[in-house]
Amino acid sequence: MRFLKGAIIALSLGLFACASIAPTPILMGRVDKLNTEVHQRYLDCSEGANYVPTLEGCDPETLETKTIKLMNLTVELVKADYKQPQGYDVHLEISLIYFRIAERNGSAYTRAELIARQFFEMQKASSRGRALNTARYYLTHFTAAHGTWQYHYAIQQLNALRRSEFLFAQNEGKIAIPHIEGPRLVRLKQAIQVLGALAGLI
Amino acid sequence: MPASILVRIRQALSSIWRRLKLIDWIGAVFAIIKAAKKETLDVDEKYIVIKPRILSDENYLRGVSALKVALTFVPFPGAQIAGPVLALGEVGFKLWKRISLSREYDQLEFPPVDPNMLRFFVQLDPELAKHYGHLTTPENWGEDAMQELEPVFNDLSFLTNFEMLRAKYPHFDHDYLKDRAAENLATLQTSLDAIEQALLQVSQSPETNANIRGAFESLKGLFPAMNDWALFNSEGFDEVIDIIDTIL
Repeated sequence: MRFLKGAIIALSLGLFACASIAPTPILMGRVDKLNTEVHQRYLDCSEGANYVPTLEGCDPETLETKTIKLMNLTVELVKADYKQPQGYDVHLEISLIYFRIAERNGSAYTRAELIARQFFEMQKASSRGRALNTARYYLTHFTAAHGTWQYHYAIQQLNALRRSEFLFAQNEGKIAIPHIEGPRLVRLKQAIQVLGALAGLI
Repeated sequence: MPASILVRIRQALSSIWRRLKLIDWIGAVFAIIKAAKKETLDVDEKYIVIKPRILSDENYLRGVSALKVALTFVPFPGAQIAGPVLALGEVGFKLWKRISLSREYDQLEFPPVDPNMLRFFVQLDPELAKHYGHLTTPENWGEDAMQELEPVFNDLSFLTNFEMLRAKYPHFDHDYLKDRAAENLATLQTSLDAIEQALLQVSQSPETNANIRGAFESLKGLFPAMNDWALFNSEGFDEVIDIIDTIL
């Protein structure tokens, strides 16, 4: 009986640990499930390319809560394996939804841009780097999004260093153009255009 | 403590000591260090904002590798079996991980436009600024302005048909709308070319190549009549891609 008690306690502790420090495959299952739910909820609030929170069946509050939960979970996934692209990919794609539906502030934009840069640097350094162009797409997008936020709310941050970052991201975006398809390509071209305009303003 | 137990303990310790003396300690240390060595990527630390945790997958596997090597040096019964068992676990973990990571995650058909980029775009574009610039001023900017501007911006980003754009936005300059429609069409055709090329790269016969080219030629012919990028969301397009995938 004493052995059984010990085994139960050990098993409970193991399961508790898995909730926060689970290896990638366990986390991936949870990310997968939540990711499907968030996408479905976002689709419930969309008409084509437009976000329409007043649509019947759309629940913006739950969408926001689940989006933030998924973003936090994907950070755990990156911590579990910061070389693989999947954690970054899901995190950054969900961040696109987050910035459309939730509060937009400087620190959230800064963080998204830094994570996109980390994804890009990791892919560039990796011998496989199979998601390098996806990483370029996110880097270009989030640098442009953060740059436009700075333009509207913190213009004093647009300095020479920032200009060089804009030009760097713009250049990487241009490299990615032949490898990005569909509506993503449209957004990529828009971000490239924005970065050029922002650099021209400094 | 009875003397017999003390004798037994001494004999056991002596046996362990004899076995330990057989180990090539220098070789073992080097082999363990080699197995546990961290595989580093050439990335400047300043770019790492999400740091790997101590119990990362990489560290789990490094620990298992080091333990596996260490066990091969241990001259006790059971250790020789533990090595291969750990190796099985390592392979199993990698396989399990590979399967769980194999899905593609770019599920958003239309990535949402970023509101700050949208606002900047309207200010940047003289034609948009002329009609909607007032919505982007600090006093007017907000959720309502976004709701009003987003459909306009997305129409101008995705519609490929000038007539449709003109019908929806008769107050816009016609040459501007023509340019937008032409640019959107060109981007759409480029995307289709990219998909065609990707399929041709994995095609293995001239016959399949011809089928792919024929299918895409027909699809491209449809575009001047297409009103928007609905094609990318349509079941028909998915079916075409599925058929092509099947014959490859």
